[in-house]
Amino acid sequence: MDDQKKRPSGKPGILKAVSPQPLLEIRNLTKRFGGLFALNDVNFDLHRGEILGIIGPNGAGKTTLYNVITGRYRPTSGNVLFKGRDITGYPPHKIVQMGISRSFQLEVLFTHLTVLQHLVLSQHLHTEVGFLGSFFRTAGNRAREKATEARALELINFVGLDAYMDKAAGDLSHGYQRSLGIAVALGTDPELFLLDEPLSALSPQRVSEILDLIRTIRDRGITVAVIEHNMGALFRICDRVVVLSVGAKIAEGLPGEVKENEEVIKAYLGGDVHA
Amino acid sequence: MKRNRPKSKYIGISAALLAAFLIPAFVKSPYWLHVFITIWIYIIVTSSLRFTITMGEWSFAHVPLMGMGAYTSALFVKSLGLSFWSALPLAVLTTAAISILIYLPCLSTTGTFFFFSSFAFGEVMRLCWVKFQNPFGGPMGLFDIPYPDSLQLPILPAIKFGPLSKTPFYYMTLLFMLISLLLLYMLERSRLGRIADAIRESNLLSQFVGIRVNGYKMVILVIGTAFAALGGSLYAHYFTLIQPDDFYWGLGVYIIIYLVVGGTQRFEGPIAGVLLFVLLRELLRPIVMYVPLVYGFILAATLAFLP
Repeated sequence: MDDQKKRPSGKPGILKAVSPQPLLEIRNLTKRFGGLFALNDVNFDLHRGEILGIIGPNGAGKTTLYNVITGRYRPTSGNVLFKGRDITGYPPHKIVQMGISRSFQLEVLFTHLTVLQHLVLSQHLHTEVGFLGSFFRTAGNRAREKATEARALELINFVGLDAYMDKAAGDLSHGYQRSLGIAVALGTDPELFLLDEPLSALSPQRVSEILDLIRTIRDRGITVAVIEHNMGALFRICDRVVVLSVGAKIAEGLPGEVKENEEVIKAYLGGDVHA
Repeated sequence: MKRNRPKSKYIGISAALLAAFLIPAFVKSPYWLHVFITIWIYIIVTSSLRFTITMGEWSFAHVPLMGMGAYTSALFVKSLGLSFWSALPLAVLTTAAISILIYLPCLSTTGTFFFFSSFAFGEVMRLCWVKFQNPFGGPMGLFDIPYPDSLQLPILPAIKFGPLSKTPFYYMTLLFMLISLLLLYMLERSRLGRIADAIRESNLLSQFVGIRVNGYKMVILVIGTAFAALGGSLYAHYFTLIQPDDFYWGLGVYIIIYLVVGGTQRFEGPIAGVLLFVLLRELLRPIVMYVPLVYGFILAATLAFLP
């Protein structure tokens, strides 16, 4: 391990020059819970069209980072800029409206509602069904309801849940719940999609399916960030990696670089970074 | 979500409506008409409570807000000299406005905490009626509340409301109940109903599909309150006497029992619950002191044995 080339941590990735205005800028983000720093002065950028991997040992603050970006938590200090606009401290529904969507580590779903109902609801922000119209069931509204339903079916087809359209979310298998969670997030029509451990507890076959899905999502013009413990799989799809440890960013760069970064290896307790 | 409703359902509804409209023709006893008038009022209150709980939070301020509707309506007529027909919508609006003030702090909590904070605000309202002699009349309440003014409809002779006949009250409360049920049904079927489902199923995911959770909860609570206030206003001008204890927490518990036993999942639930319990109460008149005991057993049995 000693013969590894030492690289300065936190060096901006080479992709930085590609796009002048990063889609998402994390600036000196700090989140303290009492005396504990869940996030400590974290800085990084997310560029349009990339897949960014976010890794780090348990308790590194990865999920806290998502929670701060999406407005579940208010940061102690620092800023989150989306398309150059300061969105720090916006409530979740406003963040979604801005075009940032997320999935959850443990599936958060409308347990008793069907797959189709999920995807109709996921288009809440883009549904032009007026309240009075839906109250009186006007013809115009029924047409718009049809359009919403058509889009819902498209999303269901995209994640491959056609056969389970009318099943309640709670009755789906774990893997399909994962797909549903992704479809719901896509239904909000995001520009930036934050995935939280999308590969955990999946069979190897499902893992590669989800990886393909993430790639397709990116190819459709949605910028993606992925928190993941399965580094081997993650490194197959991501363009850049940010490494967090105990709330601080310890490395950033191409997957190949990060894998060999000494601090990263140390953070994982000297354990080998399997790839 | 059923698209094609079975025909039998329409037949059932028509039969029930026909029966409801014909009751005064066959039941001559004013006492039984009185029982049905209270049933219609309680159905308005219980069904509107069911509407509010579709979004997942149980409010215990519902019955005190019904009381607020009763008090404001009575005061509009007694103190300001308005006609009942203008006091009723005004009371509904005033009470809806009051409910915004009450639910604003409550909505920073959820679940059990929401339940208890709404209970606390309900008690605050009740204690205001008890403590403020002017205008609420203190513990004695308000009495001599005028009956609704007589109503002149085209073709028909003037409808007079008074102590002599309960039939006009019967039809008035029945019509208000049917209109309320129709509106609540349409609301539940509308987009607002879908959003309420989403919020009930997952507060968190609702936020992350862009739903302003607390905004919609407030809208739903205020709409529910408006119907409770309608029930309260009818109550005040039918009984012509209201006291703080008419709307105490015990009534809130009864309403919840009607709702839970009747079934919260279905629109007909509260209607069935109110009919069952109020009629049961009449059957149990001879052993009236045991009524709460019987209600308690029914509630326990429902919770234990029904899904």
